[in-house]
Amino acid sequence: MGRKRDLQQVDQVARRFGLDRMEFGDYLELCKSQGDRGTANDRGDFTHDELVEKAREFQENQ
Amino acid sequence: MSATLIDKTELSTHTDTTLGAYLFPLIGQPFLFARLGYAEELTLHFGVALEAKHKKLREAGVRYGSYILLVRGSAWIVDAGNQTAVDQLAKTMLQGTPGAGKPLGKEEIAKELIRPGLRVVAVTPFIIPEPESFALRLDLADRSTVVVIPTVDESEIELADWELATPRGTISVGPGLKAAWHGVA
Repeated sequence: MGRKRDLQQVDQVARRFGLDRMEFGDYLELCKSQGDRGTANDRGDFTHDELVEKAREFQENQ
Repeated sequence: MSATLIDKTELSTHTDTTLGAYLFPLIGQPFLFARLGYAEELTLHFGVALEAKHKKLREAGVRYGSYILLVRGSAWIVDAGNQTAVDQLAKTMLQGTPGAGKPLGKEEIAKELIRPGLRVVAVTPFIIPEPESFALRLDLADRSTVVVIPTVDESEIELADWELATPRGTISVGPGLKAAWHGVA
């Protein structure tokens, strides 16, 4: 299942980088919908390292 | 932002008055839209629609309600009009129950879950025994209902069962019979 674990990872990375947790989650979904998918599972979710990379990208594109 | 822990005993013995008081501002707010987000988290947006703060999200037309119910990792059931929608967790819980509802995809949830403009008429937290936690029932003006049911997690992850974000702060409920208020500074 892993849904809670995935959400917790997003929360942790957002907290670490001082990001709005909800907007960061929606940013990840936007990336996925545009073909920029993660490798964590078939849904295209992101691994922890990929989330950290996405957090940096989120900050740069603000 | 400051966090205020709400006492477990206070919550379990005065559910209606304590937790209900934090949820009360949602009553009367109109439903705007629903979204299935990252990790299949359902969010229900109410109140006034606001633009995203992040440029890319704004450009993509992502909006937020001034009041947002975040289901987090819990199971949910939406009984709206002539259809019942559930997530995969609730589907498993209700297996074999007649009229138990069907899982919907992202597009279906965004388009047809609840009729926009319907106002919230009641917000009712209630205790379930397994896992001992607060479930939530939301009633809308046309008698549609949303029920959020916390689920047991195999890995003991410390994640809220559900949250309500409001203009004044966010109430995070669970896991277990606890809640915390994070006020906007």
